[in-house]
Parts: sequence; C-alpha cells; structure tokens
Amino acid sequence: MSSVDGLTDYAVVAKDLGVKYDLRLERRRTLRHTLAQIAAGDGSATLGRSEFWALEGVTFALRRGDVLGVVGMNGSGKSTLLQVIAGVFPPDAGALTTFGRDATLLTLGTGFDNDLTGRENIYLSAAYLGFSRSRIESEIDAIIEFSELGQFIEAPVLTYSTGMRARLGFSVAVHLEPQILLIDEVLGVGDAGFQRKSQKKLEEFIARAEAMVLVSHSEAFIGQMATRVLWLDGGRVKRYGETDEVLEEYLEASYDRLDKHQRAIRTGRVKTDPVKTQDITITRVFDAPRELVWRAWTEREQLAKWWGMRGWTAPPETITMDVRPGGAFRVTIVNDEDGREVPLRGAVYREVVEAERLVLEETAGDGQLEGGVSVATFTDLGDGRTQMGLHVTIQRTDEMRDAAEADLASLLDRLAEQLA
Amino acid sequence: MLAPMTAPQADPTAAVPFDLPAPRKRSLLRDAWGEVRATARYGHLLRYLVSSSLRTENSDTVFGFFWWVLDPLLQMAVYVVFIGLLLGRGDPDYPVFILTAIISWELLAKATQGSARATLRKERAMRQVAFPKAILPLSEVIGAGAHFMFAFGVLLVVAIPFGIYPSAYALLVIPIALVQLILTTGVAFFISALNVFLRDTTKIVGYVFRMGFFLSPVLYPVTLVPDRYREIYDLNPFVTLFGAYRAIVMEHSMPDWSSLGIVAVGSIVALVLGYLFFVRLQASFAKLV
Repeated sequence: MSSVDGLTDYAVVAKDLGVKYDLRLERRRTLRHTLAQIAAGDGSATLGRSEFWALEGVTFALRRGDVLGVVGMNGSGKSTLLQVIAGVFPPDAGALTTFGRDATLLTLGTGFDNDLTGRENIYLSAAYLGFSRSRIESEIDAIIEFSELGQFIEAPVLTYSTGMRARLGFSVAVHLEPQILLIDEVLGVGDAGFQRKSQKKLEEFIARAEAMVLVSHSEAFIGQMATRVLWLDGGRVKRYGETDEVLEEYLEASYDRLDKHQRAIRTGRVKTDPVKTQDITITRVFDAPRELVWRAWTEREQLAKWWGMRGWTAPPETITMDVRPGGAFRVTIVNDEDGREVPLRGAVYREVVEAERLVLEETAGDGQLEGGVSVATFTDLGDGRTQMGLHVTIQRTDEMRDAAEADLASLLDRLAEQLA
Repeated sequence: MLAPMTAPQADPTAAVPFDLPAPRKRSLLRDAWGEVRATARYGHLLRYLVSSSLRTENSDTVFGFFWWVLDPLLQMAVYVVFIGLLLGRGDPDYPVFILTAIISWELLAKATQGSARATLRKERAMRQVAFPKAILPLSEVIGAGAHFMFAFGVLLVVAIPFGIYPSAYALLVIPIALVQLILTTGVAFFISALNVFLRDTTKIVGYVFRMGFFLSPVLYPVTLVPDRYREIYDLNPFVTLFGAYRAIVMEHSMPDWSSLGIVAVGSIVALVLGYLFFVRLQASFAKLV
C-alpha cells in the first residue's frame, strides 16, 4: 500500500485477474456423453486437468470518471471480463475490486419474462439488478416514456418485436444508473431517432457515473467514449493505455490496409465533436484571365485536368456536369496510387452567372449530412489575373471542417498549377 | 517505433500503483453464509418471481386459476376410478385418504421439477446479473407451497361430503408442512444444481419420483406393507408426513410428534447439505448454462 488516500481515486482495479472455465464440467452435460468418454478411454481427460483460462493476468486500474474501452477479437475474453466485474462469478486468480460500488452489466432485457407485460418486466428486470421497489416506482414513468412503447407497455413482451424489446431493455438499464456501468454491445438499438436519444442518454450517464467499462466491436464508439483502452488477446492483455495509442495499434493490427484517414474515421476522431454549420472562405488570385478560370470550372475537359485533391484525379468520363440552374454535377475521383474510385456526393447548380458567379448545392443523400452550399465568384483584376472567392457552407464537426478546408485548398492549388 | 509498444508489455502491474488486499481464501461455509445474507437482501426479487409465476402459469388456459382446484381433484379422480371402482378396494373415505397424500406429494414434485427447470430457464439472467441464484429454487418451492396450502383448503371442503368435518387439528398443517418444506427445499437445491451440470437429472428424477410415489403410502395404508419390511419402509420420511396429515385431517388427532421430530431433524440436515452443494456449484452456473 503506497498510498491509502490515493485509493479513493480509483473505481475498478484488477490485478493479475484470472477466470477459469472447467472443461471437465462443461463437457459433462449428459450422462451419455460422460459414459462415452470414459468408455473411449478418455476418462483421464474427462476427470483430469482440462481447464481453460478465459482471462489470465489481467491488470488495470480505472480512476473515477474513467471510461475503459475493451477491444479484441471474438473469444478474447471481453465479455468474461464484464461478467467478472459485474460479480456474475468470482475471479479464479488474482484480485478485483470496485471498492464497494455496484457494477451493473447493461444488457438488453435482463431477466425478461415473455409472459409478463412490459410494465411488469420493468419491475422484474430491476429486481434482478437489485433495485428496490420504491426506486423502480420513482423511475417507471420515465422508463416507459423513454422506451416509446406507449400502450404496448401493458401487452406481454411475447408480442414485442426485437426492436421494442431492445428499447425497453435499454430504457430500464440506463434509468437505474448503477455506479459502475458495464456495456456489452448494446448500441445500435432501434431506429436512428432512438439511437441518437440513447447516445445522448449514455453521455449524460457517463457524466454522472463513477466509471464505465464498455465492450464494442465499433472502434468509433470506443474511440469516442473511452479514456483508456484495454486490448485483450486470447484472455491476456496485449496492450493497455491511452485510447489513441492503443486503438491506433489495435487498428493497425486489425486493419493494416486502412489508410490513416479511414482509421481516423473508424476511431471516430473525425466524429467526436458536434456537427454544426461551418463556413469556409478561401480567396485566391490566379495568373490567368477570367474567361480561362471560368472555363476551368464549367467545361468538363478543363475540370478533369485539375479536379480532385492532391493524389487524386477525376477522369473526364466520370464527370457529369450540366451547367445551368437545376443541372446536375457529379464526379468520381480515382486514387493515383492504387486506382481506388471514390464517388463524391452529387450537387446541383443553383446559380450560373456567366464568368461571375457559380452556386452549387450538394444533394442530401439518405442518412447523410445536410448538403452544403458552395459559392464561387470570379473577379477580373484587370491585369490578366483573376481573383476567385470560394465560400462554402457545410454541416461538419470542427475537425472535419479543417479537413474540408485543407481539401479545398489542395483543390485550388491544383487549379493554380493547371492555369499557370 | 511501434515495435517496443506492441511487444508484450514490460510490466503490466505498473498500471496499479498499490497492492490490493489478497483475496480471502474461499471457504464453502463462508461462501454459504454470504449467500444466505445476499438472498435475504433479494427478498424483493423472490416475491416478484413467485407472484409473477403464480399469475402467469395458467394465464393461457381456459380454466386459468381453476386449475389450482382441478389439478388435485382430477389426480384424485384417476386413482379413485382405478382403485376404488375397478378394483373395488378402499374404504368409503378412500378419496379423502388419497387426496391428503396426493397434495403433499405434489408439493415435492412441483417444487423440485420446477427448480430444476428454473436454473436452466433463467440462464440469461444468470449470465448477466450477480444475484443470489438460490432465489430460483426458493421461488419454485414457495410457489409450490402456495399451491399446497390452497389445495389443503380444497381437501378440507372435499372431505365434508364424506362426513369428515374440519377441526382445529387442521391448523397443525402449519408445522407439518413446514417440515416438509424444509425437506423439499433441500432436495430442490440439490436437484436444481445437479441439473445444470447433468441435463439427464430431470429425466432421472422423473422416474425416481414415480417410483417414490408407489413406494410411499399414497394409495394404500402402511398396514398393507409386510411387517418385515416396515423398518426399512418407515425410513421414507413421507410415511411420517402422510401419517401426520391424515391424522390431523381424517382422525382429528395429534400427529406422531416423535417421528415427526426425527423427520424434522433429518430435513434440516438435508437442507444444509443441499444448500452447501448448491453454493459449491453455483459459482460455475453462469459459465455453464
């Protein structure tokens, strides 16, 4: 004990934690099986030391307010770790403590009984989780409202769709607010609206909870939520540390073909901030007459010479452009190195003022961010040079704004090279 | 740059800058006591499981709650028709005689079979939540106990047409049923734990119970058993229990307290052993089901 005072800062500590599965018992499920094994001379294996360590030597310390993300392949012991923290079974080796705090595994529909109504199942589920009746009664209206089940709350759970069950389960779990919340792949419940609501509720929860441990196959979710990451591999700790570092390495190992940008998207670092309206204004002076700059923007063959960020090109055959108000604009860019094709979002011309002004509006696709608006203005400086203003309004996070600005600058750099 | 980071970490324990108190050595008795206390804290769940299962068990049947009355009566009718009418055996009050034992036997059968099913059926909850698993067999025993008390009332009414009127002795059903509940709970703990590991248990238990039914004096009086077997036969606790129930219902007399006392002591031993067996295995339930 180096510092007893320091202990109060901690919420969950595991030291050399091990969980063992006894294959001997696991296998002996029916008499026939056991007898067959003994008859086959496999008695020693049946009765012998066949055990399997689902977790071994796992050590980590979570301070209050920490969110631990657990990553690893299927069967690496992630769920077992949550179960042992929740106290579903005791550790078979090492030590684990939550310093007396209750740790609850948030899974959907804990202990639901199909014959009971939704309302009755709220009571049942909460009772399994050890909450008192009065606690449930004070929350029940909020739970029902959040679940959006309406009158179906009085119908047996048997009649519910998977989505309804999941909504009810999620609603019960987040409203009971255990001190330490353990989450095992529960997001992605319900429709987009409910998902947004759940995400918000979880964020509120995290702000209040002592600590949280979450298991997810979505690195984006982990990257967004976790303050520390534990990477399990075959029941052992492969890496444990800061989210960015561990996740980066984990992704490197798992998706070594992804480039950095895609990894950034997967880890959610692109999505961390709230999406808001962003304005980007870039002004450039090109050493070319205004007519030429205008043509570079409005003629397919000219556009194909420069469109695309550095490292990408837009072959003329991939470009669709109908330069008049209401006309379509569509481009697919091709990576110079590996030939990867990425179709960009389509847009519609809103205004076309010959050699002066061009307004494009992105078409909002299904489930995509709201379309942005780009306004390009062309001014003749009189000395054979042209000043171009590009004003873009888009719905992006702050970080994505910076990326978009860099992309636009890169685009205009290429135009400048082309016109020079 | 990345190589030393991906290599198995130098010292994983460095993440924990202090020692955790060494976990206490696991001892079965200490675990069992801890479980008892945890179970007491979960009384709310126990009540809820009992009431919801009693409410829903017949909810999809036409007769619904009526089955509480019909179940014992129809069972009685089967044997009355078979033995009373076809074989022409039995006294005039034979239906009351067998109904007394049938409801008591049903308490045992319902509780143990229900417990064995419960530890499998509630597997999802067991894998997700840390709750005292003893709640599951306990809720089945209590549910079966409720059925029994109700059926006992039915028995007292059914007895009236046979000239057997309820007396104050009927109140002694409480201590007698208590002894049987203790015994039943012990058996239920044992069987429900075993069933998780050996799924044949429920089938085997089904046959053992059927044999036990005929080896116990449900359909015949103990006097039918040859004297030379009586010593062994009387080891069956149900000889004493059925005798006690029949004494208070049919004979309006005290039960045989001394043999009931012996059965009570044996039942407590069975409960403790069954519970220890259950506690010993329950930590593995969540890993196996």
